[in-house]
Amino acid sequence: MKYSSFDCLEIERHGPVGWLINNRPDQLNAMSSQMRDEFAVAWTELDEDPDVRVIVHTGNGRAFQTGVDVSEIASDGVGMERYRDSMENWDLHFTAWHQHVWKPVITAVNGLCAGGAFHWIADADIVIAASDAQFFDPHVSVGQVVSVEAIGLMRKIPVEAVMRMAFVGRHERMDAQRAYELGMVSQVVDPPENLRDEAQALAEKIARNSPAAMRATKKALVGALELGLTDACKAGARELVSMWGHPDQTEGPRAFAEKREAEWQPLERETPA
Amino acid sequence: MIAAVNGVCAGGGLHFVADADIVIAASDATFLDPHVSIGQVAAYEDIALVRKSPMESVMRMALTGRHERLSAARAHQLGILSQIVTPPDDLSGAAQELAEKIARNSPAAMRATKKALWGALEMGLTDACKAGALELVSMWGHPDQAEGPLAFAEKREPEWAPVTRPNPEEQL
Repeated sequence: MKYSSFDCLEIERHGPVGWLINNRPDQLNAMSSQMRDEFAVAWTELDEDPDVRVIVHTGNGRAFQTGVDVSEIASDGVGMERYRDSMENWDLHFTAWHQHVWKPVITAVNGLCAGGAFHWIADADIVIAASDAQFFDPHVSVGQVVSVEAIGLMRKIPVEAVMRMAFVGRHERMDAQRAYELGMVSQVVDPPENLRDEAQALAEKIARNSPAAMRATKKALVGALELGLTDACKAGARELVSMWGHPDQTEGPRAFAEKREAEWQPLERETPA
Repeated sequence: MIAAVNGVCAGGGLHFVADADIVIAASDATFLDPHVSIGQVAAYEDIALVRKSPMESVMRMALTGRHERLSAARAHQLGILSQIVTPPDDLSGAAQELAEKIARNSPAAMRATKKALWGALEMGLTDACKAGALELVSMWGHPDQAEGPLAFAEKREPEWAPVTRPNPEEQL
């Protein structure tokens, strides 16, 4: 598939794995307004590419990402006001979750992960980190509020850890080992330079599974974060039944019995309602 | 609000762990919930805890009652608390040190942050994010929003605007 050209991001495909790479290394991959717009396009295009089954998101340079570009905010005469409408009207488009991407998304944290970078921790399905990754949230240290990304994260990991990062601000950092203990990441890669190889290997494992079954699974589990337990299980049961009659339901057991890789049906991107 | 747990924390004592923003503990602290061992129900404090920590560990504590204790080390692994202080006598000093770090941050931004994150436990994810977005925007135009980046650029401590406790009736 032909992708748009981007200034702040790189897109690559290696086999069934689509790579979205933050590419403003000199600004520690801080998100300018242009980069924010490019994310919206990049996630959608990766989701539309039939050859991409799993998406890995990482960064170039010594940071994964460091939130909004504070120097742009401080110098463009508009500041955060540029984003007021998108916040007040809940009209965000820079993460896979915002863009209704139902393919599996792995965030591979290289180096620094600060502030708004937690959007891509909270909104990923799987997170792995290089052993030298560092996590902190400096919002309150510069008079900003910690909100959307931490709300997502606190549904997924112990709340106390999220609150501590929110309140300690830039005065303390969490290391990759602690993030692993807390369940914020499921794998620490050492040495750090092996991060992309490990992410590719993990993504290739996932790409061997049924795309349709993974989409329904993701809908069931992500949807459960919106509901009370019983309602979530009822909604999940409907996702489960939605796969019955799908060709992958016969292909999967048959390939298993015949000791071969399954040939799954390709998926088309669903247009968000 | 930081809870600094010294020694045994049992039963209703877990309310203060569940409702704190940050929890630290002396290395000899232990946690248990003996409610069911004396025919009482463990409810509010554990319901709050399961929203904040991995659920299995809370259920185990609730159901084993007085017959098992959770160590500070395990509570740290589980994220029920974020720091273990050794030796235990250093607990107050460590709590003061942590609190002083936090006191360097914008009080107004921390208040809006606390409202956004605690409020999120009451709602579905998308509704919580929408409500959180409003808390976020509520700080825009506040003097701390200019003072924070300015102090950072000038490499000095910020001088934050003080916050006053709101009238509880106005909050209702």
